[in-house]
Amino acid sequence: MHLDLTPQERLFREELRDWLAAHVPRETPPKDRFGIRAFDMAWQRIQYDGGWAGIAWPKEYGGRGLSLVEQVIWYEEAARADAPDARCAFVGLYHGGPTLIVNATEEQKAFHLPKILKGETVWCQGFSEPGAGSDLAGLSTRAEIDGDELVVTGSKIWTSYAQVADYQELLLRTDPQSRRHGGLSWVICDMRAPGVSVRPVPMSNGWDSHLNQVFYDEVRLPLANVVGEVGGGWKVAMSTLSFERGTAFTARQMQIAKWVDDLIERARTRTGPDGRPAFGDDEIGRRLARLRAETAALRAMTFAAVARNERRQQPGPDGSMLKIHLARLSKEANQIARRLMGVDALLMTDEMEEHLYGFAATVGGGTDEIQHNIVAERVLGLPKSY
Amino acid sequence: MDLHPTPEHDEIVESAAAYLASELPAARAPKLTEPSLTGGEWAGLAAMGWFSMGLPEADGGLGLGVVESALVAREFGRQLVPPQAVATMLAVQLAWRLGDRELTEALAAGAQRAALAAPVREAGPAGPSAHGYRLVDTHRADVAIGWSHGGAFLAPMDAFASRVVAPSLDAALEVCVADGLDRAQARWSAEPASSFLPQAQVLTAAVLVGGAEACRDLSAEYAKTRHQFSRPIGSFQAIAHPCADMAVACEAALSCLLYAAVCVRDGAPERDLYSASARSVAYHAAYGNAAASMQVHGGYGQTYEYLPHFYLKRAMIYGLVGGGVEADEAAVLQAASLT
Repeated sequence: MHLDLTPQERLFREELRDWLAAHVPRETPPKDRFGIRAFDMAWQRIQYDGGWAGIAWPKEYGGRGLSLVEQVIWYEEAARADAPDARCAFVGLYHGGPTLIVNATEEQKAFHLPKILKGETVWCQGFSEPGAGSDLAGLSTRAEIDGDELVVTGSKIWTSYAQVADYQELLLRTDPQSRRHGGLSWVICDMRAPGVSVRPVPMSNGWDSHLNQVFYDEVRLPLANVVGEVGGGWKVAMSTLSFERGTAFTARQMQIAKWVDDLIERARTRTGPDGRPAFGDDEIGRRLARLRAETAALRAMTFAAVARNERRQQPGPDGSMLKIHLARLSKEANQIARRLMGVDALLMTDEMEEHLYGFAATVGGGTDEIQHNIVAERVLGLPKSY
Repeated sequence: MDLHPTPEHDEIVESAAAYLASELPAARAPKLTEPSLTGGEWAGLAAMGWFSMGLPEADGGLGLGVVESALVAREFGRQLVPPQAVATMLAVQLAWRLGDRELTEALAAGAQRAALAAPVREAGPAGPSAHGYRLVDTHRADVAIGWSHGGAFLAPMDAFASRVVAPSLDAALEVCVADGLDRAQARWSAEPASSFLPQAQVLTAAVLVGGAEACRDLSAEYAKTRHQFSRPIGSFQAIAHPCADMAVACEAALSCLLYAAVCVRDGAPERDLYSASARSVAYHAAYGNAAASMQVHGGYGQTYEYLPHFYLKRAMIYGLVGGGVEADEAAVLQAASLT
């Protein structure tokens, strides 16, 4: 048990720090959908060209082939350097790509993985449906097999960045006789295929470039786009979710300590209505202290998970404990941030947009309720609960 | 960077867990008629080498460090081993730092026992408070150890003025009230020079983590076996989700503890942030899990016979000593602004 970096890891960190200082974009990221895509893909390309994309991805697909320790160093340094969030690169980098690495054919991997790392393709997720949210196995989007093609009909929802995406992780029912977890397939959907249409879903904070509903009207996709077995989609989807819950938020876990440090600094300097620093408010001070301690614990939890994940192919159900803890701390930081806004909370500022988006922390990536079910059943061995 | 217990660590944990499960299991707590441990039970702990394990081999110890001590202390917490055990582990460390060879050896060998001292008013920078004290787990204790963020002290029990046994929060432990302390008889070691505080934070956090884990396990076990509405109660989310929260609290507290212990062992720059954080996170996990466990156990959770209330009381005890968790949380903010 040790926290020391190897000479190689130390060198990695030093080089990374210098590189980030010179290359992190300093302009404010745009908020419109095409601006988001252009900005995020350009930043991804800069990382690729600098040799910093896909730290722990295999070399043959354009990655660095390094360990998860180096990957977590990358996230921590990126947070320290205020590097942009992955945003529309998130799905490809953090769970689409990792799912392909574990489950896809050579052809699929060779075609898609380098494009994700180079910032050439945007991926989105197609799991939730209007009628199947937490109950994912109740999904009804279906595909008929017609020769060497799938013909897809149905709808998906809560799809981040679908308007600007090239490909989608599409989970659908390929066996009409099947029920629940059987007869599903995990398919790479070309978002430009005829019959795919996207409708934005405006959010509580006014954003209309983020969430979408996607419709499929007899969309023809090659059968070769199925990842894993036809009818074996649930297993592949669980692999996707293990990455989404286990490692996709590592960047966020590394960012939150800096966020809380910034809140502490603001509480020290910003005055409340009584003219004293907000910090003098015992309740705010105590909450910040506990939150800072819990973010230290989250960071330690992240390193403990990295150590476990280095010893297995994909994260286990314990990843849901990280997700629950991260979401809880994010929401607490969000509440303290609102207290520090004072009467400016009456304005729809950038900060308020983020504040309202913060309520999604316990919904996106699997609701908090589902994460609790997973921990209860698969970590503690309790009976199934609905 | 590898925050995974080594096979040697697993061995230490397994041997401690096996010994305590057979000799001093938590389940005996409600049945105890005499507080704390008998002479034989105490000698057994000493024979395991747990009081001396943190000392260098040249001084009769096992040459093991704070990480290994924390792993053992976590098992103490899990089995409700009386606070004298971790207090004596800490007293060995403090006596050694004070250069008191005789006392170090007596404590390490199990010939003397330490109780925990909680001052009514906090110590100043120059020495322990001369005012009132609450002393915890005093039965058969020879010395008491107290510490805060200014420093730590060891004093013989006789140095506490008008010491009387008082009704105890935890009936399995003896508590004394004392009016004051004769400071001339106390040995004081000032922070930060002594570097005792991070050790104390980590070892008390470890006991708290063990308690939090025990409450998680008791609750999960009860949720699997207790039936209502013809189903195990764990099949209701109103029970299952609090159990999941207990697991999350344990994972956070254990990870933070191990990280902090490694920082203390290595003298890492993040030491003060993590040792203070570990104590805060462990305290809230222990107290919160015990309270949630009392709820999961329903009416039985309110009885003396069931164990959750013992863990709740131990969480209160460990949260009140060492200057209190509030002082550690203030230290978290202090350390965060320095990193």
